Amino acid sequence: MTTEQKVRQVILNTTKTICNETAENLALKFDPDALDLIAEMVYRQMGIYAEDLEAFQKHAKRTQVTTDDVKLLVRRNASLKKHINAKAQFIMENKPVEVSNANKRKRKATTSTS
Amino acid sequence: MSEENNFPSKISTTFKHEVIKELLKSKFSSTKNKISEDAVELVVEIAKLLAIEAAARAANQAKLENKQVINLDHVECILPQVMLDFA
Repeated sequence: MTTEQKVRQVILNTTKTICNETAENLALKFDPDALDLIAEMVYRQMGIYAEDLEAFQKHAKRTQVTTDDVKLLVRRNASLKKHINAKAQFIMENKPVEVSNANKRKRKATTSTS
Repeated sequence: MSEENNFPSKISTTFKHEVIKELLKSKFSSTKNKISEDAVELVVEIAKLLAIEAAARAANQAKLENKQVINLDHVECILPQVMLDFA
């Protein structure tokens, strides 16, 4: 099995697990065919997202896909956009300790020189 | 979509970070292109929401027909709108 096939299989399986869990919460059951269809749809959609993200990144003349590209990806769906923005903010707040330190140092340096 | 706000937190299964990253990279035309960890995290979240949304809408469709099992017809019925909403 090639890596691509493995990745596809893992994504299909994860999607099916998520769908089953969702159905369990609603006291329903999924037909195997129905699960296959949703899993395939999620996999294809991820492929489309990858192409879009690359195009956005290229348009912004960058060589790295950033969170801004992902935000642009979900601009049409208002509730999804809101959710992703919140998530992005959460990630940003829980991460950059070093950056804020650097900023403080810079500010101190500028105030001492002025 | 009204139940979207509280529902996803109940689902503990998520996509693996590395798998999504591998998929995105494999679809890029240039191998030089990179993707930041934060961006991958957001795509993982979108993928999870897409799966939950599709499952929830299909479940809703089945409930409308008073069925206990969600079959192919229910999913086919909701698929176009889900794909447009996540386009």
